[in-house]
Amino acid sequence: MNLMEVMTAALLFLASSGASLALWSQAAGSLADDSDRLARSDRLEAVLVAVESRLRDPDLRQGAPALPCPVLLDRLAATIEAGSLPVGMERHLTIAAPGDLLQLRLVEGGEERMRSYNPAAFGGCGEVAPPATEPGHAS
Amino acid sequence: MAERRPQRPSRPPLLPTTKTRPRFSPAATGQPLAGSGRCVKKASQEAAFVLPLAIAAALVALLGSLSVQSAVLQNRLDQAVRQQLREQEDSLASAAQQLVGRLNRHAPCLLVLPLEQWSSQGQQCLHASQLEPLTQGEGREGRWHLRGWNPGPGPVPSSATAVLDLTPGTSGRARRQATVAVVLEGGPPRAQAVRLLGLRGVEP
Repeated sequence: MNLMEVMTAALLFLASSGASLALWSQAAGSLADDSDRLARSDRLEAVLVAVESRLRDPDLRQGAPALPCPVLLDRLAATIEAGSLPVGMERHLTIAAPGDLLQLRLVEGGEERMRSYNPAAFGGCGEVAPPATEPGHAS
Repeated sequence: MAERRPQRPSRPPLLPTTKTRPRFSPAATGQPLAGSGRCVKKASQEAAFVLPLAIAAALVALLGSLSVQSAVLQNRLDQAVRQQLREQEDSLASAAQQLVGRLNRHAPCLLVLPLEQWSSQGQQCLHASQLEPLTQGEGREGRWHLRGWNPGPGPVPSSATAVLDLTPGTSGRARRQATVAVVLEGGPPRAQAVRLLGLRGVEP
């Protein structure tokens, strides 16, 4: 058996095994990261579904559309904040520039979800539409 | 007369004599090696067997790990598409909230009319010039437009379905269309709840 050939074969095998192991470990790390990201994303989705479900509560719309929009906006914010959050998740509620949109931002790790809610979409609020030009029509 | 002693029968020699040919030392006989060619061939075959085996093993190991790597990349691509879809879903849900809020506040009479009649019969509660800004807006993921508004049957419908289009602001993202269910209640009907029913891709 030629020593040179054996050495070449051994070197080749060692190099490919090393490269293969590096690729496998990289793949395993990526898969672990991806599964973490997926789990975070699913948790955010579950919280969002729970928020949407709470917003269907009829108590939220009580008094609408006669209620002023800021009152309904506060009620909306309180309903959203009433729900509990999983550990590690953050909830940010902000009022968007026009003042009639409540922005909900849920963050966990590098993942985030953001949705806006208009208090007027829950039965209406504040000033209603100007009176109809033709009497008898709802406005 | 001398007695002739009987001759003893000759026994076979215990050790090979110089005349017997040794089995594994052909060199001693001075003859050409009958089995030496086969031995050299066998050794060279073994040597030639190790290198292809190593190459084959290396290829199998590398191809296996590359296929795993491509599966991981495919998985990551799927996740990116899913994330993009969720962002567009959020944007369309926010657009639906914005639209229904505007309709409730500024033009509740439109809630019971199909979109095709908004420009004609809708003028009773909204000026034609106000119609366009009402039915479109800018979201986080791009610009949205109202494509359809279909109230349920009857003069006082209990629900309506809206179709919203999202034109993405960033290139490379697909256009999406969302169907939204709206619950209507009240004497003059008002939208009470908004629910996103589903998303679908739209041809550009």
